[in-house]
Amino acid sequence: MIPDITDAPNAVELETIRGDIVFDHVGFHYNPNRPILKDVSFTIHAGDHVGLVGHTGSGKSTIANLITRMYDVISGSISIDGHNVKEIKVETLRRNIAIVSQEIYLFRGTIAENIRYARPDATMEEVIDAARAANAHDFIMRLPEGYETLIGIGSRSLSGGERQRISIARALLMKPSLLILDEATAAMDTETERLISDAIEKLIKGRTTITIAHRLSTLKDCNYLMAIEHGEIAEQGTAEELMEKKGVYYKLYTLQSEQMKKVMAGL
Amino acid sequence: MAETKVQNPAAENDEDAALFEKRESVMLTPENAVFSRSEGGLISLDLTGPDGEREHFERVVVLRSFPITDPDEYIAVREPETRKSRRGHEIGLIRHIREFDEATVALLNEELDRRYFTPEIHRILSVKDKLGYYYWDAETSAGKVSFVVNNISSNIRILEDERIFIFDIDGNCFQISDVTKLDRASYRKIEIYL
Ligand SMILES: Nc1ncnc2c1ncn2[C@@H]1O[C@H](COP(=O)(O)OP(=O)(O)OP(=O)(O)O)[C@@H](O)[C@H]1O
Ligand SMILES: [Mg+2]
Repeated sequence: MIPDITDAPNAVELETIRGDIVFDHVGFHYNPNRPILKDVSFTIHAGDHVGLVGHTGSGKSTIANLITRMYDVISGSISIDGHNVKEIKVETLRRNIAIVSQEIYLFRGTIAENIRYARPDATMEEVIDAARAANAHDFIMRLPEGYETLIGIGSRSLSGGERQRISIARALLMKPSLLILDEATAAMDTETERLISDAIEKLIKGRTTITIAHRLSTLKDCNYLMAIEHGEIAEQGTAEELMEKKGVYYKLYTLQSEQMKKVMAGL
Repeated sequence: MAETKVQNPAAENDEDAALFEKRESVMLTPENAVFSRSEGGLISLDLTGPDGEREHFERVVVLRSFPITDPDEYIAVREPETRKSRRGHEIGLIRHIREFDEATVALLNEELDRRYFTPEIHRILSVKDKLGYYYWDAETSAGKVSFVVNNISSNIRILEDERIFIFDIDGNCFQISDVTKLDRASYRKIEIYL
């Protein structure tokens, strides 16, 4: 399916967004004979840090795609700050919502251009500051061409962790009001992971954040969690509450602890 | 290397160590930074902190943020990478070289030109691994050289355009513009690192 999103004739332009998000009975599929979201309703308040969990393929990234209007809902509606997303200018959404995702989008260009992408007016000083906060500055400076090193399509010159830090620098520079973190499935070495989580912590500060995570340990700082299953929000609450419920979250958690035990035993 | 003891168990990697003992990079200006030529012909730095405290760096490494379009701006000044301290931290950034006096400008430029002079490797004579340090002998456009590389995964870089850069522990850089032009014996010596 190819996204085909345009502005409604009466679309509103918002200078900033606060980040109050309401999903109201949202239904969505990429392919009509395979519904992904059946009836999803939830409310996120500005300033919240929400964790979204669920099995692989349950529709977590899809929810992120709908908020940013990569795709439009099939039924129900999504609103941001009380405006239906279909009536907000796409440009407003792009400017205020940052996704740091599994699929890091780096285009062919220099590292500096890639970081500045969302804010072409940023000064080089701001670019360097953002890279520094993202723990990317040091590895960038060690490249023979520094911030002018060409990266892009294949990006065999950068490791996965380095690419991710560049995308975090980009998001930091953008100063988004809403941040969506869609954690990479690929395992990273602990060092890289530490550098990245340190950078992400800075990014989250003071922003409405939705964290989609596979490793439940990444979710420890969330105010509350939502678990998605069979196209619906199956559970909502703090990690402790969901553990007590013995539902989806509990299952994911025990599954992961068992895998961890196996890994540890294997060492 | 099971016998190698690391003090901070979390800081087994140099990059990680850098994260743990980070120093705040500052803007370097003629007011807080005095560069001079050290005895060994290297660059020393005397830094005055915001509270008047002084720090002396016997040797610093200078790097360009934008070596192609802006070689005189945003110059990073770092502690060198040594065997003891592993990766050096950034001490500060010079916004524009020309803020400094003529002698300092000449000193910094000379060091930068040396640093960004990148000999081309024509033939690799040998690469020997000793406890994670790799001792290289090679024939380059600047003659026969020997150098030492640590942390292979981050010090051998393959860029988008296939050029290979190799950084040694002293901050020198060597390049292989087209690996397919290397002779077979040379290629065999490096292929496992690529
Ligand atoms: N562009 C697309 N076209 C068709 N199907 C898609 C598309 N994107 C995702 N899907 C399918 O929709 C389902 C939900 O995908 P989604 O990426 O939202 O899952 P997820 O919960 O993020 O999974 P994961 O945990 O693996 O990242 C999956 O079965 C996926 O194969
Ligand atoms: Mg996903």
